Amino acid sequence: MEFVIVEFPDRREVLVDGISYGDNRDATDYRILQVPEGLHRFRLRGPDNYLPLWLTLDVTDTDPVSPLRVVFTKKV
Amino acid sequence: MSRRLLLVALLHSVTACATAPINVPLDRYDASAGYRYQNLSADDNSDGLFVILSFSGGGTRAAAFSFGVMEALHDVRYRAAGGSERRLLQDVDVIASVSGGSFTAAYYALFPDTFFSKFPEEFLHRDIERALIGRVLRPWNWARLARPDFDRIHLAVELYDETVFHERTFGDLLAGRRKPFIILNATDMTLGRRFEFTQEQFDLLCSDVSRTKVAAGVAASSAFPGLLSPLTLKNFATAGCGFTKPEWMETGLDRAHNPLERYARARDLASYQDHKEERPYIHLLDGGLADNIGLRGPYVALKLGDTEWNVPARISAGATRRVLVITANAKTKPRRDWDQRESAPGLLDVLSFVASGPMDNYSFDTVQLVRDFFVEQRRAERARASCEREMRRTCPEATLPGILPDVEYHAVELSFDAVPDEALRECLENLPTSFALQEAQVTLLRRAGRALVMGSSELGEAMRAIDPSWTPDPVPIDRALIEQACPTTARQGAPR
Repeated sequence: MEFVIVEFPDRREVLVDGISYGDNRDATDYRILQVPEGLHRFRLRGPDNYLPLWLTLDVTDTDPVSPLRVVFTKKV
Repeated sequence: MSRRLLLVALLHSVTACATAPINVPLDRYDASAGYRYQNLSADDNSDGLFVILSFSGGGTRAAAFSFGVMEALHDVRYRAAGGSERRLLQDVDVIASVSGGSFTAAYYALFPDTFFSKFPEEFLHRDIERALIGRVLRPWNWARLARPDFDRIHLAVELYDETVFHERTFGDLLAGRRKPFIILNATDMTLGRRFEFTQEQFDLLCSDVSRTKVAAGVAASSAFPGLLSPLTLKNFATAGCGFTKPEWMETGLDRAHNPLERYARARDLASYQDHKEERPYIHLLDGGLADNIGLRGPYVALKLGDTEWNVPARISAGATRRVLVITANAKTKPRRDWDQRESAPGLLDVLSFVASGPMDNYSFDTVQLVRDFFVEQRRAERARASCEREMRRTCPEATLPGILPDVEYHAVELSFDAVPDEALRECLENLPTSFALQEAQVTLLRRAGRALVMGSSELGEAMRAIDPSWTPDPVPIDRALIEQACPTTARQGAPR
């Protein structure tokens, strides 16, 4: 299993290959998502006020101490 | 054949032309409709605990054993976090089954309220083999059997439909909206892979599983090669239904950036929709040929996640905090005497070994894959916790990124080789694979299933993690019952 953090300033639901993996963060910190190894498409559910609109990434060689960071930024 | 008999046969063959097709086209692909895990209600089902059952093949032996396991799970009561008493059977989310185990799984999903009272009489104590042979011998079925689109498997579908599943369809399962979600597994003869009777799989054929009889899924799942013919489904993908590949299949088809098992699965499943492959018909055999313990589907959901009941997604979303996988494996270990002779084993012995030996090894490996996956998950959680402890000690102001969900994983395998009583174990391991067992044998298998659940140290550990006060009920097994079920082995294996 691989470990991923989805960074976005707001709390948003994360879709991995179109399936909900829950919110990217709770009140205090980012949540670590457990994502199977391989190529996956990451998106945020809700308004498309972020960039890029999706990221397709090869998720491999992570561990729970140093998860992969998937970064979305707010559109200005 | 007398003229009258011929007339009857002709009349029936004409009637049979109107026999409903096994599967029909899907009007329009809709990823949110049909018999899918997410369309079943979570009411009366503990969401934090995710329970998967897998039932192996093995004819009535497997059906009776898995029934005994279900009886025990019904009696496993515990105090939930809120203080209410629950039964573990209420918490079962998914049952994946093969062959004989599919009868138990399907009947429970269709008739949960009468399951314990009616299933034994409607299936376990019936001589299904004799009933099937009886149908083959009916003269009016001879003309039907002569048709290219009708075979012994269709007689099995009719028999199961009329006498066990009472004409219910997967649409009826969907209408019930109740978990568990059942996955009846057959084997696609071309791919050599599992084929599930779920809408997720039928989408690939542009077919509507809701209008397919549950009996067809069970018959395909238990279509033992040679005894029953393969079940043929129509693939309507060429006609189209507006199907679009799920995203996991799109990403999974990139061979260079995926583990081979993920890529190979995506490639094989995509082949149903690939018009170049020209697969207008899909031929299915016993699910035990691809996976005889029904655990491969759960393994995919746990490890690869590439299915609608993706477990890592549930864990990441915080919906699941405990995963419990219980496998009821009715494998046998018949006594062999060929090593006592110089002469090589005969053709029947060789065929019997070829039919079961490799699959037993594969089943063992599948159980081990699930266990190894759970060990890997626990190790990752421990590594993170150790690192956090060390950082608090050496560098208290530093923090690790993110919050890792705390999840417990438990794998329980229930099989005859865990039976401590030698005479009982010998008896169970030498029961035949057939759809006709003696009443005492069925009763013994039920007791054994119950005893293995209650005696399982793995299940005990899982239950005490949920409710520290949980204790199993003792399940004594009467020695007279063992002697009645297995007069020979009971005498040979009895402790002196």
